[in-house]
Amino acid sequence: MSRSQNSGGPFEDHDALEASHVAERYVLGKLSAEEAERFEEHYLGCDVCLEKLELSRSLHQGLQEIATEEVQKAVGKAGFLAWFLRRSGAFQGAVAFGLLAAVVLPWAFLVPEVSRLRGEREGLVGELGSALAPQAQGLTYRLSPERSDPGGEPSTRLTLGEAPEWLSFALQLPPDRSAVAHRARLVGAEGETLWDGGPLEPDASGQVTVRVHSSWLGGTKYHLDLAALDGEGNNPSWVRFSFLVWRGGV
Amino acid sequence: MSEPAELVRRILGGDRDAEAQVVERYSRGVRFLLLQLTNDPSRADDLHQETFRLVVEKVRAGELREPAKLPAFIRQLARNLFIGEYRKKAKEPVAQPADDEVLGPPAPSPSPLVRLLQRENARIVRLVLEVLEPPRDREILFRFFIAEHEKADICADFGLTSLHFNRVLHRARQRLKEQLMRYHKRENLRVQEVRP
Repeated sequence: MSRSQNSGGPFEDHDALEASHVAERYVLGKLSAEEAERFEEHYLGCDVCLEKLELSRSLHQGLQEIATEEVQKAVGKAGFLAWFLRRSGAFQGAVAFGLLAAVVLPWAFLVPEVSRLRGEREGLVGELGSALAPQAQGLTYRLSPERSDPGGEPSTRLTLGEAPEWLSFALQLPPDRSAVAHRARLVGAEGETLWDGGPLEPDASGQVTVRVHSSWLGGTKYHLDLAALDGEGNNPSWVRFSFLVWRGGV
Repeated sequence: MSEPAELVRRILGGDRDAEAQVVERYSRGVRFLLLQLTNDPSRADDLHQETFRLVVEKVRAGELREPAKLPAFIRQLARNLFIGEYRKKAKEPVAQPADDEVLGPPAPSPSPLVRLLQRENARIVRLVLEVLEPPRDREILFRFFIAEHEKADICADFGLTSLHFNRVLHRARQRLKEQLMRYHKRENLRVQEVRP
């Protein structure tokens, strides 16, 4: 029995509801209080909307659970989880999303390909560890610090196709014996920080490798800023590495 | 199925069948609303029962002045019950929420049953992700539901039309529905097998 006969006003038009994703936006809490009230009065007796709501909620919660599982896997070993769980809910949400954006989310996108990507990662780590093979290979890009003409076009240009992929950027910092670790941030063309993370440890050849998933890059200029952290976690100065992304076919 | 105003009129006239019809018609929606508010199936069930007890009591007593607004009346009662419980359970003083304010759940630790259900749901969603093609569709779902990016931004990044985006969400829902139906069918069979 399908029912949709109460006084729902504009919410009676199910095609319009579908096109504007009202059910999904309701589940995500994105409707205004007034819209939510009107929609609730409608769906209370509407089986069509209730089915969409139940499926959307289930999908949302399932994806959240998967993302959380992946975050826990990623941070568990570092002993970070215990600290993280003591923080406020809003902070946890922000950090979880930051981690998702930087590290985990792309893995979740490629659930069936996780094993293959893990193998690929092992291979890349091996390559980077070899001082005799410093040339950028495959998906590894070696970036030089931006020394002059900061507004100019970067010399490193990447052409990315539609298929999502991991990109490794090998960043060489000037030797700094006081540095115990490094911190990196990915900055967009408008100066917005897209990702900020650390501490990162350099490899045997003094390079810091940052991995970025291609899905986070559009066809524009980006900067990877790197700073050496001293024992107290301060980051006195940033060194900037730039690159330009071209999207295939654009 | 009678119109809301007709149901109210019949309840006022002592028709018990109309009361049952109100419960049948709005039960699923009230349960979803309470689940959305509490994020806890057992709390939602408790409040659901209490909501309909109050609805019937108040309608019988003639407290609903505009019978056509029965759904709004039920919604308000359910939300008031939730807000009442929310205030009662808060250990520390909290900001007084307005009646129409969209409240987040008080975020208690989920019970073992809730955790079990969440993991089971995640397992089913993983199955959905595995069959979604092309793989880009999975990314679209994560960006929409988890990163909460706007549709326009996602479409721009992937070069999608609005229609294509809608199809991705529709397909995901359909696949989930199929997986859930398979899951429930299998669970029902298991229950039948263990019954004496």
